[in-house]
Amino acid sequence: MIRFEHVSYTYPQAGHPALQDLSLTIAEGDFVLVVGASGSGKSTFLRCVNGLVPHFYGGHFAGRVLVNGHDTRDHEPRQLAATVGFVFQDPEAQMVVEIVEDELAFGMENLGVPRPVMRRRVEEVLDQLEIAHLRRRRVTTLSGGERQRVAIAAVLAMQPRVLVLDEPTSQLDPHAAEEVLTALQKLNADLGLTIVLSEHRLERVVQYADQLIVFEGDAAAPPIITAGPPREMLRQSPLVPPLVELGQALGWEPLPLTLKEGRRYVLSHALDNPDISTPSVIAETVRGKGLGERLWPRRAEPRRELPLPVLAAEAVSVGRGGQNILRDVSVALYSGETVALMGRNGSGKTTLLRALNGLDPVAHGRVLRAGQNITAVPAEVRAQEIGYVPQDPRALLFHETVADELIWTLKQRASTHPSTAIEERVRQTLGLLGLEHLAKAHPRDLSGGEQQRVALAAILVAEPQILLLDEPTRGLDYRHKAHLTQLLRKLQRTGRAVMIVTHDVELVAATADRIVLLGSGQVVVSGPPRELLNDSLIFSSQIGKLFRHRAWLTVEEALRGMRDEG
Amino acid sequence: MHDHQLSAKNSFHSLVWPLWLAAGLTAISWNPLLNVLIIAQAVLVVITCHTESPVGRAFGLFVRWGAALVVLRTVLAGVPVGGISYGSTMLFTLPQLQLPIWLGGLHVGGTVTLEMILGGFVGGIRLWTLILIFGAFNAVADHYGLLRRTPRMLFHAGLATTIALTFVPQVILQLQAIRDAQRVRGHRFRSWRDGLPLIVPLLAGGPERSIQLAEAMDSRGYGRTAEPRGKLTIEIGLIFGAALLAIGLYLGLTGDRRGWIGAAAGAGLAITLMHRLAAGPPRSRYTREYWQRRDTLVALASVVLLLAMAALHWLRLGGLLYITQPRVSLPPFEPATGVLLLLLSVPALIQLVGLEGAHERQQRVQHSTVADRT
Repeated sequence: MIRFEHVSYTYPQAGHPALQDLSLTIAEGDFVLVVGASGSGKSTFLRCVNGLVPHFYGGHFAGRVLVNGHDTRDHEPRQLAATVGFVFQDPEAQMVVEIVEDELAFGMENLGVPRPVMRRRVEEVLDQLEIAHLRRRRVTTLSGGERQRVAIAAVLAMQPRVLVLDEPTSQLDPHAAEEVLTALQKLNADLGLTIVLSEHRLERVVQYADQLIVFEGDAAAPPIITAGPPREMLRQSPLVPPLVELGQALGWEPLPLTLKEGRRYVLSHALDNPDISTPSVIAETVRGKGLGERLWPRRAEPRRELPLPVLAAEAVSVGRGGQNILRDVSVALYSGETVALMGRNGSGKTTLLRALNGLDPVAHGRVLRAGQNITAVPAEVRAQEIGYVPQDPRALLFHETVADELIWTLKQRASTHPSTAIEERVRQTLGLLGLEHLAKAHPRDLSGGEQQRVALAAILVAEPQILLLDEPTRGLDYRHKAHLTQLLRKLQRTGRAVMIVTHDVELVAATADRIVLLGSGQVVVSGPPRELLNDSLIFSSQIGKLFRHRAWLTVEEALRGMRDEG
Repeated sequence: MHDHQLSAKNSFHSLVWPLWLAAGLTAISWNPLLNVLIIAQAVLVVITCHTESPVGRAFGLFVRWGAALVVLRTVLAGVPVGGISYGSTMLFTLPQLQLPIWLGGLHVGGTVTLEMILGGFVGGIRLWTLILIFGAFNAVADHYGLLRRTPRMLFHAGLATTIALTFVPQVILQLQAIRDAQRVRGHRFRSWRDGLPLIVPLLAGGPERSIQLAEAMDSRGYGRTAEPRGKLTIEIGLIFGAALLAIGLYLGLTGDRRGWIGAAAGAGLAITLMHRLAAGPPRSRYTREYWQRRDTLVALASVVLLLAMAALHWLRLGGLLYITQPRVSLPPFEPATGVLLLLLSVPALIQLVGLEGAHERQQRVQHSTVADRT
């Protein structure tokens, strides 16, 4: 179906090739998963499939790519549109028409699909991706996840034979991601649609994949690309989902890829049964006495001795355009604590984060910073104490180099630092986020995951006491996610208060003291992860699902727990 | 509920508005009274028919920028350049200054007359009318409906228009996000220099987004063509056609009547061949648009207005001219022309009266859906 023959490609004005002598074959009906560190050339590879590389970007292209017998050098992307559907990473930038329903029809109109067929297909994809309620909405009013589903639906409606998706679930909540991936798997199984998909969160898709293509390396050199069946590829790979990591550590053979496979080992080794569980004990041996546990041990215990929260929302309501985004939400954040804000796409998580920062005006209720109304705190003080990393890191970056970006943040501070101190601080922060090699790079040339880290560095360098992060793991691979996890724990230890908006259950399991679950603008439930994640079907980590009666949520906890038991 | 409001606000056929635009543009004259009448109607049409799209809501911007232009134009016209003033109603005298050499070294200043100021004002109003007619069209037109009707040979124009259309609302959203992000980062806006952290991400983000959108449109088959046989021959023919057009135009403009025939032939050849080049599998349309009685009324009104105004311009009738020199006078006003101009408000009147509105249209679309399926 797709054949790469000795493909080398160099972007215009690039020092080295992005792809070098790549040969591989993707059979018709295959489900192919493309993985690799951020910035390793996955997007470039995907763009070769429908001819965007080289037609759109120019540069130097050697070898050839055959898609369904068409040579991409002779066929422009728009000619391949009926064969290859492409879903881009950034759902904001691929909407052409204003109304959802028309957006779904746009591609089909270009292909000249007859109207009755179009209508039927629109209905089908509306149901498939569960967006029927959005059909008359304006694209600009949709949340990130909703847009992503519309983008996928719009391409699916064209019924291509190959579907290429560049990190299609990076903005979706776990449930929505599963919906999308199940829909893709069904299309692959039932209709024989060939699917090429890049994804960082392997745990979501690896069970569906027939072939895994692994990109190793970073932007500094052409990547080393290997391909093969998932089980073999994952055996040595350092970038693996939690279940595989556990399997690797415990030497389970063959390596389990799905929870079902993993559960067999758990049963045969008698690692989990209903009588075993004493969650709180294990929780404390695993993590020590986290503040989360101290705050929420038993509901009855009086909480009078609690310190003043560093940041708190009291019965906050926020409205926009006549609609209530948040209704009567109360959340408190204490120093040394990490709180995860979770919830469906469009449930008001980002709005709450913005309200806490004083960015969105509050209609009712109030936001307090250490007991003081946030509106009364001067903007400079607010900026110094509260660090905020928005969902789109590009909103922040405007300097020529990464290092300048960090220096600028420091120079905005009232106190002046000597330049040597600034340099030292910048160097440290870059090291903390694994960005030393990019200090002189242009922020806008970096990949999505790298930009995410640069934005975080630009905020962290000022050492704010409170950190508000909006989807910090979007576009991060396992390695960088592990770095971020460590970083967050370090911040926690130094008494910072962190609030994360995220869909990433694994990150939450590894870092959060407390989860606040939002649903349609209200707090549905709030409590420690162990309580919330363990009995949840959707919001649970892989390890949590594997050991249903344990209080283990991460690989680390499971391994330590097993060792303690002997 | 929300959906209904969306479509009920503007339920004219997408081809009606270009006609209305053409009529509005022809109606613009040098008579400020007539132009003000046109402005009033443009505003009325926007109020009654505007769409809810972010682009559609930009009308206020057109009003403000236009007003600023009127002021600027009046002031500039009032200042004599090179010591030359005209008109007989002297107001006051400005001191004369010589501009630096790199600005032309002209003398600026001198006697300011009422006629000069008024002349500038009249020109400004005319410009404002032009801007507002376009602004009104922008606020009421169904851009995407029109985009779909763009002939394939104008592929690049369609692509550019789409990018521009999605660009404006995105820039506004983007600006908001950037401003928030930088403010939170500790940025304070004290002078214009502090705009840099806003402008750079915005300028850098604009092209990035445009490229992504163009990629997305390309990947979804926008502008698809079938490679016609004998492409090279067609291309050579196209060059020939273009050359014929150019020579014909030159001859025509220099007085040779035969030149016009040549130009027409060249243009015809070029258009035909471009069409051939762009030929491909036919595009289809998802929503069927119905031409209704209300559409006919607006179209008729627009055509009548267009022809009548064109005739008046040609014949120099109807009080379309207003000359401010040598002495200030009241602009002429012919009631018949005024009444004629009222045709511009026909869409607004229909919308206000509520003649066969969106409900019927939606029902019909639904009927057709059922019919299509069975």
